[in-house]
Amino acid sequence: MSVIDISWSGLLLSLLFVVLAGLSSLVLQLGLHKDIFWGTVRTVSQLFLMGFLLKYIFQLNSAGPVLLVYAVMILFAAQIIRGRVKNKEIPYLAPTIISMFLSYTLVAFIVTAGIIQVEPWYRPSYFLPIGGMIIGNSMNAIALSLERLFGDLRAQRDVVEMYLSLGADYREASGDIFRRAVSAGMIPSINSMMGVGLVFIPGMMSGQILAGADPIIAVKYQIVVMLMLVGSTALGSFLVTLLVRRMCFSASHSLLLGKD
Amino acid sequence: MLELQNVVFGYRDSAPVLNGISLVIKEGDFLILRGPSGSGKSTFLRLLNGLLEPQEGIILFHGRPLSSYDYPSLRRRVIYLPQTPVLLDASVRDNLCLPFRFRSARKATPPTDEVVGEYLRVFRLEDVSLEANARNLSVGQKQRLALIRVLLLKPEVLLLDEPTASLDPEVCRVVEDYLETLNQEQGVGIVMVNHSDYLPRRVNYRLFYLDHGRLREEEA
Repeated sequence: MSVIDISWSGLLLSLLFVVLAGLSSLVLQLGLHKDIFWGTVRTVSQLFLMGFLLKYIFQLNSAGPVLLVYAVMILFAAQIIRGRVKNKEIPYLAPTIISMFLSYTLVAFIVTAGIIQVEPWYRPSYFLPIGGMIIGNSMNAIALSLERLFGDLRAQRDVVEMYLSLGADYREASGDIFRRAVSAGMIPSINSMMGVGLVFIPGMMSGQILAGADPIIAVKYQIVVMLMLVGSTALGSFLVTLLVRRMCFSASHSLLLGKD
Repeated sequence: MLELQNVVFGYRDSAPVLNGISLVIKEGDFLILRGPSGSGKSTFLRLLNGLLEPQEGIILFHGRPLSSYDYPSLRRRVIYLPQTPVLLDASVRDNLCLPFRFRSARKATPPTDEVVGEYLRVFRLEDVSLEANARNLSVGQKQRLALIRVLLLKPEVLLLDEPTASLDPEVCRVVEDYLETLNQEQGVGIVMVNHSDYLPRRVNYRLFYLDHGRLREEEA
């Protein structure tokens, strides 16, 4: 079974959905029609841009451009995290990028080279979608871990300082907070393993089935994806919390974060 | 024993809380520190065991800069006790033995129940069970428990922030007498921030007043 291409007229017809949504906004005075318009423009243009870029990179099939696109995706993800996690006292961007790069690359490499056994391991049609899924999902995990880390260190400043005052080092003083921050990042990907296949058909599996793949092959891919996301969120959350927690304390093991 | 040389400290974006403080605290000194709210008394105590670091100047302990010490070990010798007691949601015993779980206490032996019990009796807490949850105690009981916890570490210097603020006059007197005895008999240095009119009765003391970032010694 091969993929049925969507004709240009068919694609145009899909605009009917946003026209309907825009009309509802106008009739019900929701004030969303501008957002719907610009959202549609951005969806179409950004995805086509991505499509042409991927097509070009697929043709090149060399490691350099693949890793460059992968690195740019990580930088964008780090920027999104910076927008979400509000903290001016600790410059956490660099350790976030380092954690993302190390953990995601390791997981993506194991999946393409070890599990799917693509040759070469950086083949863009495999490495970029796999890397993209890891980055997109684990980005949320890292943001959750950082939010929890900063929030708890501030809220429990008196407890942390009590530990420090009694001779604890910074690791001992923030041990519970560290564990809670790593868990906060890991829990969503663990929870998603519980509902998968019961309450939703995941995007990647749906895509493969639509593209004509045998459902069992699609299932195998989906299992790998779910498991790799658990691994990458765990590794990413652990690394980023480890590095950023150190930055929250001075060399003299005193807490650098102020109160809320 | 502790020496401050031209110490300046301020919090972000605000004027220095402490502005050029110099002071020598000798072994066995008993210092009383007074001053209006927000004058930097707690900040002063927190600087002395490295919970805060001066922006200018230097603090020496036994002639060596604080930065040359392993801070966790230093903080077991120069202990800061905040005004509000912080106890874990755990038993009285676990709270009192908490510092003996840290790496800096590798060589220390945790106190036996008999030793802990003796401290509880001294501070009029004989009715408190070692198994009781420390969070369920009254504020005054918590304050004494937090004091016992630091005393179990046998510190060289005690930095006490209003240690009797939540105690009734009778128990307050017990604590003050105990601290004076500790200072007199074991030479433990004490720096006590105090709002009340307490002055040591049985030991020599030095009285300081902190205001507008400056420290002034008054006639004892």
